[in-house]
Parts: sequence; structure tokens; C-alpha cells
Amino acid sequence: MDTENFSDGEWQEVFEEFRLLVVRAGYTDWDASAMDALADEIEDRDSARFDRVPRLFPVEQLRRYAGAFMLFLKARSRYARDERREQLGSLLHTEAGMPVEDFLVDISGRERPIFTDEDDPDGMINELGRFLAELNGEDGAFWDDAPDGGGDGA
Amino acid sequence: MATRTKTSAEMKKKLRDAFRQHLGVDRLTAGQLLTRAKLQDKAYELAALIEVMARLKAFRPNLIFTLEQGTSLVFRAKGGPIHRTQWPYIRIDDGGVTVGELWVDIECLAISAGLGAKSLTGYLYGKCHELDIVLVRPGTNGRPLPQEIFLGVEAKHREFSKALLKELLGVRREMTMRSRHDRYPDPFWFAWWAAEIPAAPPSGLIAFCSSATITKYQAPADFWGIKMEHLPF
Repeated sequence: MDTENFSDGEWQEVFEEFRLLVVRAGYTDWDASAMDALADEIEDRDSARFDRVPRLFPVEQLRRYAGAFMLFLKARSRYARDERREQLGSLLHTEAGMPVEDFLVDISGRERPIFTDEDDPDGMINELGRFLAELNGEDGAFWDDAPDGGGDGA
Repeated sequence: MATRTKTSAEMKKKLRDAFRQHLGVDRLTAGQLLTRAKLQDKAYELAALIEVMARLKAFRPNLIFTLEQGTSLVFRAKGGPIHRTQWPYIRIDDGGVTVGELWVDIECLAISAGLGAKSLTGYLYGKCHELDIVLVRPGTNGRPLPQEIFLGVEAKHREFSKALLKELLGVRREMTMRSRHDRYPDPFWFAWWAAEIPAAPPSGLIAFCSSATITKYQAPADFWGIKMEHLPF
């Protein structure tokens, strides 16, 4: 069986699983905005005026959602961190004339670095790149390169 | 290199494994996950703040940015008033004269709240609205009044939608009145994108969004003097 033979129902299941994982990763606000944007797009299509059938097939919704999520994760990639440091250091200095290169977030009185080592957005970006290539029929590496994160196989 | 059966069940399992391995689903605590989501938004605010400084500098090359009250930029998970001794901020000088200050995560008083709201403390129930970044007049304290704001900036690291447009229009409506005017001499030194903005008090609002769809919503934004800017990653 190949993914091109997946039914709309199967793609819908994969899409819903993807959304659930995004929410379980803590990104509930992002998911809500992404779904609002998808709904806007469906509503704005001329043909949607005449019926209530979404004009975006589930695989296309999944493709857009996953692509947008990959871009979302880039905000905390290593490349973004290094670029922000360089840009900020060139524009902003302390009163003592030193470049400012650190950025923190105060959460309930505790300062946390924006870029932490608790997760691996770069690894996920790469994984999503392979996933999108599979959806686009470009590359089968998504299947071949199994992560060793340990799934339950359910 | 293993060859996998291409079934939807296998695809879902593969996705679950990836989210576990790379994003800590089922490994990090709920608190850690929610904190990480906040950090993601702040990473985009940081990009927007740098963009604001870069645009201002390109528009007015003599501007100098200095971090006051600290050596690191500190964003606030929850917005609040300006506390000059508690939080770092960016002083902007032009030819040795301070012309403005950049603050992050600041609650600004709404037009509808009236001047008396400046002295109010505690939760204001809609009499103020948080802006991700504000450029205010030098020396502004507490929650800035509309006339103390030069520029408000919202940073949206997500797909743009009509819901976000409505939010922006609501904030803008409470920042300033729509007006054509010539009462202010050189009022828009901070507006690199327009010679004037239809607003009294003369302030601007910029919405940075990582999604290109924001540009589709330019027409209503133009009417209210909101600059819609696609700031991608």
C-alpha cells in the first residue's frame, strides 16, 4: 500500500492525530489559529458559497497545517538563535557599551532563556521536512529513517 | 535502513515517535510544555523587536539604542505596566537627545478608559490592552496613555486569520482616533513606512506576522493606520 492510495478518511485520521500531538506538545493557541486560518480559506473559496463541503481535501489540510507548524518551530531553531544574537548585538548595547546578546523570559518571577536544551526543534523540523516530502510524493525517507524515540505502536 | 509498511496507522505512530523524541511529548511535564509554548511566542517577539530597531535605524541612521536597567533583554510572560526600576528597556537617542523608549509586554490604557485610569491599579477589566512592544515618550510610567505612545507592535507567529484581524482592529480602536490632521509638527519620526498616519493622537500600530496571509488583510488595516508586515522565518 502506498500513501497515494490512502482514503480521505485515512488522511483525516492522520491530520487529527497530528493536531492532537501539536496540542499535547503545548501549542494549543497555535493550533487554534491554524484552524481559524484553514476555515477562512475554505470559507473564502467561491465554490464554498454554494455547499457546505470543504473544498480542501484532508491531505491538503494536513500538508498546509504541517508546513505551517514546521515554520512555526523555526523560531527557536539553532539558526534563529544565532541570527538573533548577531542581529541584536549589532544594534543594542548596554550602558557600559557591551553588545546585548542574551534574551530571557520572566515566567512567574523566574527568568528562563528563550532557547533551551529541553527539546530539539531542529530535529523536529528535519522530521517534518521528510514528512512533507512524503506527502508531496517526493521522497520516502520519512519511512526509512525511523526515530528511536520509542513508540507504543498503537 | 528499514522499509516500513505505508499505512495510516504506521504514519501516525511515526509522528507520535517524532513528537516524543524531538518535542518532549510524554517526557516533559505539562508545566514545561506550556512554558515552552510561551518561549516560542517570545522568540518571535524578539525577532519583531530586532526588526523594529533595524527599520528605525535604517530610517534614521543617527538613532542609538541602549539597554537600560540590565545586561539582558527580558520579556514578560504576562504583560503589565512600565516599572522603570524593575524591567530593562531600550532608550533611543538621536544626536544626544532621548527621543523614545522601547518596552516589551506592556499594558496600555484604552481611549475609553479616560485620563483618570492612569492612577488605577490592579486588574482593569478591559480598560487596558497588552501590546507586545511599545515605543513610548521618554519618561513614561505605569500604563501608557494613548498620547504617550508613538508606536505599538503586535507579533503574531501563527497563521493569520479574520479573528486576528478583529483583535488588531479592536486594539487600534482603543489606541487612537482615526483622523486626518496637521496639528503635529513632524509627528511621525518613528513611522518608516508612511509620511503620515490617519491617527490622533499620532501613533502607529504594526502587526508582524510570520504568515504571508497577513498581506491579504491590508485594506481594513490601511483605513485605521495599521501596518501589516510579513516577517517570515
